[in-house]
Amino acid sequence: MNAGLEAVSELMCPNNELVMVDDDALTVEIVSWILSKGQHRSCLFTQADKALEYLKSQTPRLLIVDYYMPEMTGLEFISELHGSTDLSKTQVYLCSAVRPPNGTGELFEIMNVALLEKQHLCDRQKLTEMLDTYL
Amino acid sequence: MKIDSVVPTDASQKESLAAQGPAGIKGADASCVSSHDLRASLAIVNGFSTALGSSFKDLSEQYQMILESDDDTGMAESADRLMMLDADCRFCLSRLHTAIETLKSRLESERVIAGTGQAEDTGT
Repeated sequence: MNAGLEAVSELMCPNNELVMVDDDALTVEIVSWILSKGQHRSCLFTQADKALEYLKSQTPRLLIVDYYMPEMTGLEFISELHGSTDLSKTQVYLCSAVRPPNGTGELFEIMNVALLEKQHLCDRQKLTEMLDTYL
Repeated sequence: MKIDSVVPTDASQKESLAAQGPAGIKGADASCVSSHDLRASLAIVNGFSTALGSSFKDLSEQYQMILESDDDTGMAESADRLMMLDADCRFCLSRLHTAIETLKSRLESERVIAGTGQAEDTGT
């Protein structure tokens, strides 16, 4: 799989049910592999700007954004998205391997996002359960 | 988990969030990012390791089933599944190797940074 692709994995688009953004190619690869075992439609990105562009015209049911990305933080990503997209019907998760900095909890609530631990995202059983719950 | 009542609805609130949130977070990122990268690597290693374990278990079961089977009905299908599981194992093993290399490299950089910090602390 070529991590340099704009959309690393695009299964049965458009009308994605899951969109994920993570600059870590290995994370995207394991999620892509887990998704390949199920039937859920998805689109995975390693570049935040490409994902933002894509999300202007697509509204997924589940959106998972990595918190620590080089171009922008996950919160910046969601802030920017809120300005251009209606996320009221989308379950949004910010994914991180560590607890985000103090003071971000309030912002999470205001922006209607939940926190997802990276180890859950990389775990086939847990991710599958989550996909079955929301999609 | 959704908190519909706090979705920012008016434009000024969204703009304020966009300006306020990230700016306040950026400054604290350096140490968090390093810790995040290490833990992320561990999560990925664990993910591929678990995936390899379950794929290998499925592969062994499938292989055993073929060996114990008396008739050839559905043999082509079983062989296809065997190949698919074999490919899964190879994929997970290869990515597990990459993930461990990434983790090693991140641990090395962390050690270098920690060493530099210690040297500065002791004035060396």
